[in-house]
Amino acid sequence: MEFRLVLQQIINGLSLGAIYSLIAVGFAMIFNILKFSNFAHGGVLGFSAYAGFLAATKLGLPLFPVILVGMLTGAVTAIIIEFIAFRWIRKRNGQLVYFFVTSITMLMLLQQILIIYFGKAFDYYPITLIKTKVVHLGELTIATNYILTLIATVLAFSLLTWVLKKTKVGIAIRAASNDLVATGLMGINADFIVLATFAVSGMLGGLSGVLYGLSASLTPQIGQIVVKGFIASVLGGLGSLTGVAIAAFALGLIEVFLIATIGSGLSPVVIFFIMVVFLLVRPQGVAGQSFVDKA
Amino acid sequence: MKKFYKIMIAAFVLMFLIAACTPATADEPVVEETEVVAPETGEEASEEEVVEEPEYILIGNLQDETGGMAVLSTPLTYAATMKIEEINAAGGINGRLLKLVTYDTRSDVTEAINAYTRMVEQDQVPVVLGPPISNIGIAVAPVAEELQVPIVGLFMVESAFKQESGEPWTYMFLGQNSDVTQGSIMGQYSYDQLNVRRSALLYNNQNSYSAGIGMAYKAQLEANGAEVIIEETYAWGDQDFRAQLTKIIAEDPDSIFFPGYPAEIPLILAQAYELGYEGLMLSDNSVPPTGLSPNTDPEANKNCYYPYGINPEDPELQAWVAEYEEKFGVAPLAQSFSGADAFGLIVTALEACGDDISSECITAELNNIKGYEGFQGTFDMAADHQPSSLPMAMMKIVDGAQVFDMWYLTSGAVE
Amino acid sequence: MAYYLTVSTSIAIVLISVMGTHLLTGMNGMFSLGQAAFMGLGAYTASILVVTFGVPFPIAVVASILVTLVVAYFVGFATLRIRQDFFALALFGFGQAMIGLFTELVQLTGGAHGFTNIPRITTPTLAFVSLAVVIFIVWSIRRSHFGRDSLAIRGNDMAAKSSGIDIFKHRMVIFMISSAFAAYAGVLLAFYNRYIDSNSFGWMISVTWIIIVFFGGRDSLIGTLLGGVILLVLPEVLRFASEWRITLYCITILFIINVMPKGLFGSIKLPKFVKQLFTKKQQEAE
Repeated sequence: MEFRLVLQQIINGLSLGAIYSLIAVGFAMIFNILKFSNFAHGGVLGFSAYAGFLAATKLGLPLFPVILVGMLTGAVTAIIIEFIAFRWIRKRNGQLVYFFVTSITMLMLLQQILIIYFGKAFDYYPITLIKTKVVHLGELTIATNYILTLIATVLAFSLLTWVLKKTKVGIAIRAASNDLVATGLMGINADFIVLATFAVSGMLGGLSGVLYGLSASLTPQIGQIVVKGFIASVLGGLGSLTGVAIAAFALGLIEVFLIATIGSGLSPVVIFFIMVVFLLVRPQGVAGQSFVDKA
Repeated sequence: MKKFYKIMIAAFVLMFLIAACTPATADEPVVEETEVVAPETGEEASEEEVVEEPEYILIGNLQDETGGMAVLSTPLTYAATMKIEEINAAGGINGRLLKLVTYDTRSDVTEAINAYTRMVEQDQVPVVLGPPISNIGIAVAPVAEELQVPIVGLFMVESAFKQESGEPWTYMFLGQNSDVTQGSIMGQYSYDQLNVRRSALLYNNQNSYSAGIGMAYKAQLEANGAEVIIEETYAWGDQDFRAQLTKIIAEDPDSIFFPGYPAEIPLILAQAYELGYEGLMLSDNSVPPTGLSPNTDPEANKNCYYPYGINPEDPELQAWVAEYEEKFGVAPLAQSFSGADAFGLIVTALEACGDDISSECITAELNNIKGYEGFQGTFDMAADHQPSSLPMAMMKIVDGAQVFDMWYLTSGAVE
Repeated sequence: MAYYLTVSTSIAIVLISVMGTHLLTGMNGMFSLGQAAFMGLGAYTASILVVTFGVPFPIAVVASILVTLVVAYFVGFATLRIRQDFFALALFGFGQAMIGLFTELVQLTGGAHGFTNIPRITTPTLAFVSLAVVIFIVWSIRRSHFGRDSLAIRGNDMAAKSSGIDIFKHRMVIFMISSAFAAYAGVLLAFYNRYIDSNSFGWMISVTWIIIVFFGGRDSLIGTLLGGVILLVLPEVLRFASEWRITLYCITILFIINVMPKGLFGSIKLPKFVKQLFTKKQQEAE
């Protein structure tokens, strides 16, 4: 009985981690390439979640088309964000803090737009979108949605790794993540690389938006879950998507563990201490390279 | 370039002066499809002086329009709007038409205080329809004591309408049952009718509404000799409660009481069900409409009971609900009905005051309200500024829809 | 009259915190989402001391600031040696932790119901005089060696280090001062509104302050102040367009950061600014 409790909590933690890792990988793409925390990713997530919602309710589409709609919305939103918010700062080689400020302003802006259009009512994805709600393994329960997210994360991850290692665009992106300027000097169109990165990040954001939206209640503030991606990316370390994924799962597990032991009220306090200790002890993150701030 | 700055600064200063000196025109009644209709008074354009014409009674409306709680505040504005249109169509109150002056509190305490001060001083409203958000109510109470304009709202936490000494805040009036009342009634009902003896409690410890109802429920159970065997909390914005629920279910309670807001209720219902829990799921008056189907799987909410302000099976209410839905495009929430009552209390006081539309008279009349017939039932305004012995309708969910069980008070069932 | 006073006093109090952010994020480029938590720390500490323990107000103020300095020291010690991103993350986590504490310690803080019955001690005079003092402190820092170090570090921290600046010490001092400002503003706020709850100290509030600094001019003291006044007064002015107000803010910020990265008022210093209003000098390109 005790053992079953622990096992179920582990599953809960991993399920949460699956959601976080999908969000984190999208976030980390920008984090790795452009070296800044793109909070606007939360706005992408929110927009995609609502786009999927509209597709499911107004157009009555089934699950996979809804996901595709979400991914498309995510990519488009991310590209627009790149143009409006980041392009000029990047061109001017602006300091890190400008990226922080713009990205978080963008998050607020997108959230506010959602509040204007959707703030007056409660919205949910139709429960008919996923037929079986849960999968039972003996006495343990896993929500189907989380299994879906896990599969999506693994797929996205593998696909991403393949693209980054084997395709021209991917190799260019990896080069850009090492040194954007040098890559430009080599004749590769840096602007295009950046756009491609945002597009991919946006698609991941859209995917995570829909999958997260399925298991949550749709509020305009849904994008704020992006902070989990932020936490996982920084803890995961620069230059390694694997590290980010691991950090995200660890975060999910730790959160569940803390709730199960000291309760939800004091969890943020413990998490803060864990964060600080971790950053001091292992500044390169879970699997990242050492990196010095842009001079 | 410097001229640009000069002009801009002058413009901003001018803007502020103009806006500050112009009594605000009231918002048009809010309709869901359109944006807030801006009155003709522009910032730099020459403004029409909207002075308080003798034909209008201005009623302040202190709500959250753009913050996180907008979805709970809007029902009050909607209900008030409907009522105003009805009254104005019939010629107003004593020949005067009603107008709502709505200011946004943005869920922020400082904003709310500023907004209330502005509507009292600049727009000179004699009475205010207050928010459903308790923390705003608590913050505004001492200000109301100073500015002496009464507020009738849905801030159900006791410190919003009662001072520490036990005396009521002179100008704060609650238009529905307080959190203590609601929690106690639910506790008593659960004990008497559902045989709850070993309950679990899951609440948002950052939300005074959730915490207040939860604590009152627990106290009532304990007064009857039952117990709350485990308490778990969650925070604003949480969507996943499995960690807490797994822990709760492992303790084998006969019921889980989860007071919260409409956003999380369907999630808790679904997740508890998915984790294999088959006992009672008890909640507060935020269950409709999200906790009902089709938002929630009918398998998940089949053991759900909750208190509600009104009996939705009442045929008179159905007509009002239909009109509300048609006008605003959303289903009414609990706050729509209690909001209508809160506004109705204001209207009753205004009617009783005749030509003397002053805060003193309105406050006196609010204190004197007896036998008010509202959506929630018939009640007096008790000495402690909340409705006196207002029973709640105990509801259960059958096949995804709400079904009325009985009226209940802390003393037991009501015939 | 009370209305103008109330609004101006609230604005003055927020500007004190904004001054802290001006030092921290504007001049030193340190992105902290946890500054509002220090405001909460100051607010709760002072309120608890005065209301629950009967400590006289002036002592409570000093105590709150001291507590905040100590906490800031520890937090800074743990987080200032590491990268920018880490600092941002850690301060975010710190903010969440403080909010968790504020709500969990129900006996002390009132929890979800907030802390009530705080006497009104902050007068508009106190608020404005405090703001003036804070402005003076920031102005002195900017003129001093210390202030110029900030720009050096911000521009190129390796170069700054090699010219002998102790970056860690510098950042620690700035961080502590900035947090103390926020805490003091929190005290003023608590004793003006007479009520506080944990909802007022979240990371979104810290974001608002950062936005104000970058709107007005991260390098310009007068710019930050003017920008703050504009952004804080605008809600009152734009009450009829309530829904679109925040949208307008954000669009304006984005526009400014991209087109006028030095903020609306650039790096204008006051005397020059005033002079320019009266002479026909050409403004230099940014």
